[in-house]
Amino acid sequence: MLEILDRISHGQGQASDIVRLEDLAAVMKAASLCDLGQTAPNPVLTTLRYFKDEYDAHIREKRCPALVCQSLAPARKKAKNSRKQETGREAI
Amino acid sequence: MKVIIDGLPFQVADKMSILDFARDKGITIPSLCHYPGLIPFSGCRLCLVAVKGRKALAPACDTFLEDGMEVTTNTPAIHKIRRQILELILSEHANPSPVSDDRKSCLGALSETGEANQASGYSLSSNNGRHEFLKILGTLNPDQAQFPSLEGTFEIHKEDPLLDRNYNLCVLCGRCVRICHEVRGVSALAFVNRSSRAAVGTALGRRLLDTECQFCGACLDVCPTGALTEKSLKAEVLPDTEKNTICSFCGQGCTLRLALKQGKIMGSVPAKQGTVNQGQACLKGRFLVAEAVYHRSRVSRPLVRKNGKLQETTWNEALAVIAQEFSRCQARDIAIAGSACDSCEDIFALEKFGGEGLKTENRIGSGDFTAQARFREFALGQSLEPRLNFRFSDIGRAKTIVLFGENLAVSQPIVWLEVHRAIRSGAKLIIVGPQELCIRRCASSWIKLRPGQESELLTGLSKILVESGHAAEFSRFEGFAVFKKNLEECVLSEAAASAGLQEEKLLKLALSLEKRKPAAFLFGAEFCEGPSGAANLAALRNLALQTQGLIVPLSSESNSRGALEISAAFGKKNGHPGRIVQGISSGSFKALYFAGSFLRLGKKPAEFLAIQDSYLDGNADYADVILPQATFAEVEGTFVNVEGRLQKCERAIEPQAEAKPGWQIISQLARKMGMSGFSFKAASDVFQELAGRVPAFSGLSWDQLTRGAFLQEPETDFRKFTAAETLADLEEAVDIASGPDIYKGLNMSRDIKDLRLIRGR
Repeated sequence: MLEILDRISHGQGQASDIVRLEDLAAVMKAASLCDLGQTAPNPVLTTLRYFKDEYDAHIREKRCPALVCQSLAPARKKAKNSRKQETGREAI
Repeated sequence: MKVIIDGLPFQVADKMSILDFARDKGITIPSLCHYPGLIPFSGCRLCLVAVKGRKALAPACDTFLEDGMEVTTNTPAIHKIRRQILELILSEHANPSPVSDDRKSCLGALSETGEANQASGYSLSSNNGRHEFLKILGTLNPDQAQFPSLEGTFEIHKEDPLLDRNYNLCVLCGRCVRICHEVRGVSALAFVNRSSRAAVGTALGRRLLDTECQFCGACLDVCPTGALTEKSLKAEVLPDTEKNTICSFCGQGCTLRLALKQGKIMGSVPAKQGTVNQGQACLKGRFLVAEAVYHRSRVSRPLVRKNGKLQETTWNEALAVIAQEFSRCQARDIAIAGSACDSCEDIFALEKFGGEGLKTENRIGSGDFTAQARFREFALGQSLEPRLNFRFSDIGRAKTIVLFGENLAVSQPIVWLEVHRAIRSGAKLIIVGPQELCIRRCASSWIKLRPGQESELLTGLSKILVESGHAAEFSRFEGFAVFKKNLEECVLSEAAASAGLQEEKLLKLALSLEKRKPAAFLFGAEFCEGPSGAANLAALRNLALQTQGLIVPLSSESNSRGALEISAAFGKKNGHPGRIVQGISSGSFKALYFAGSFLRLGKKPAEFLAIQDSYLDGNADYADVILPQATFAEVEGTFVNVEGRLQKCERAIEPQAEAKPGWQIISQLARKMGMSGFSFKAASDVFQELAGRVPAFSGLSWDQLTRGAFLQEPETDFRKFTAAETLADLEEAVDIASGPDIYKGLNMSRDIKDLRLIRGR
């Protein structure tokens, strides 16, 4: 999951990645042994629900609307914090 | 209780997991991590099923059936989840089928590149090509493009003898880790690292040789992928037949399944249904059968010494030479030494040949020097009926196990599994002996005792038990008054001091024995040898009476018990076997016949020496005739294991070159010498006569032996205390070639390189 998110935030996402993330999250929720595993995909699922357009922007337009992903940021406007990435990491 | 599985009603009697029950009823639930006999792991998540009333899916292996439970084992949703889980598992596994054009299937990669020494060995994983993981891939049919593979990121471990480990193919089912820990009690393997770097490995990444690994091969047999492979099975050839045999490398009698290709042994695995071993074996049975059978020191043709040199000859000539030499000698000048590695038929034929044909009383066998023989001799001396039968499972039920000096993990690995089972269910293991054993870490105490002082310790324990006031049942046994009186001579502080213990510790030990009944006492030949042997046995038997203990004399040869019973049936011998051995080494016989070579010769022992054996060893230098005998894989025959269980061994392969079964050699020789009563056509004929003449075998018939049977023995044990003073002194120990790794003149730990490496650690 982290690998997919990393790929998206580096502008290498594919259109199928969103479906793949959703599938993976569903499996993790259904099949994990412990509660940690069952709740781990929640952050990814909520960002998918509320910030779907940002995922689309990353994957289709290779652009980060929040100016967080450094490798997608325009040269002059380097992002100070990297909240987006952190969210991704916490989800794993 | 009633359950409903996939809409069908079932009646369940015992507590059972959903997976076990479903498999029993022929309902397929895929699973990777579950293995019969191991504690459910629920790690692979492939066996998830829906249970009505539960929110989440439940792993079938670890969910037990309850009354009224409704289970659905397969719906499209469950199938999808299983498939996706498998896709995730595959992302950490060398992909078994093409994702893009540059990635080939493991099977394909192996055959196309011919990289047989790349430890993938898919087609020859231990189940002879019945590859569990590929089967699961077939049923779930995952899409491997979903997740990238981490193929080739782990180093392949080829540094160990006997087996290779390639964790690129591992799916982390944990079966090897668990069987090593739960069943074998070794824990050489464990999970290492986290997340996608997680793998199975040894502590600090050491070689298996540098861990406590016993190379039993249990991990190989449970591996569902090809991650673990046997080094000797690298070529991509599958066996054409499989045959069961009874392993003769030690006294436990494991059933092995030999894999054969065109009549040649490729390898062996422990038979899952094996009566004694139940799917387990030791490194000799698991890895070394083929190596031993085809060893370079095998005798292939009869040899006769001509002009000081052993030369190949015909059977006819070799037998004629022996017949001529033996006919010249008088009965008292001939001595015969048998081997307890041979089958009952071989031993019977030899005893009959010696006792009735040659009429010599100078007959000994390696079976005369085992712990069982000494215990029997001791019991008969006390006019007790000796009981030697027991079951391995009795050891598993013991609450205290006292082990005298034997390194079970090496000499009796299957007995050790039972001891380990007992320890896992709460028993205490007490090791008594001077040497530190590798199994000590499982023991609760280790009493460093010099050999010969066991009786003082045991008597001390008996005394405490008598005085502790718990003298409930055993005080009614015969001989208790005398026993109690004799105990007065024992001074506790001295007994404790001789064992190097504080008196308190001795008290504690005794109380623990009292509290944790029944006990089991395991000992080998060393315990009952020498001047203190008889006293040791007497003290042990008394203590066993007090603690409802099981006495287990162990022996390392495959048919010690059988040899004991058969030679006993042929009547009294010329004094103690030790005297005959001394006679042989002092050269007081003119002609000798050695079946097997348990006596180590340092010089020519007689004018004429004939050896019947499978391997050439040091004794061959003094032999005049050597007759090639077949090994256990090449003969049909019966063997009695250390439990007293009679098992029939089927012939798996044709004898090498001109080797013959022992009974056949003896019969031919006897006929050549004009003796009658040796017209046996097959091993079953010999057995039939044997069953009629040896009391312990009475009532047993050849055809009913497929499941094995126990030897006949008195039902009840005499509950009688014995006193050490009245004992006749046993003879001093004789120097004989014994040891766990000796098979018919082949010293496996010296002559087989892999075993030498492992034992030499």
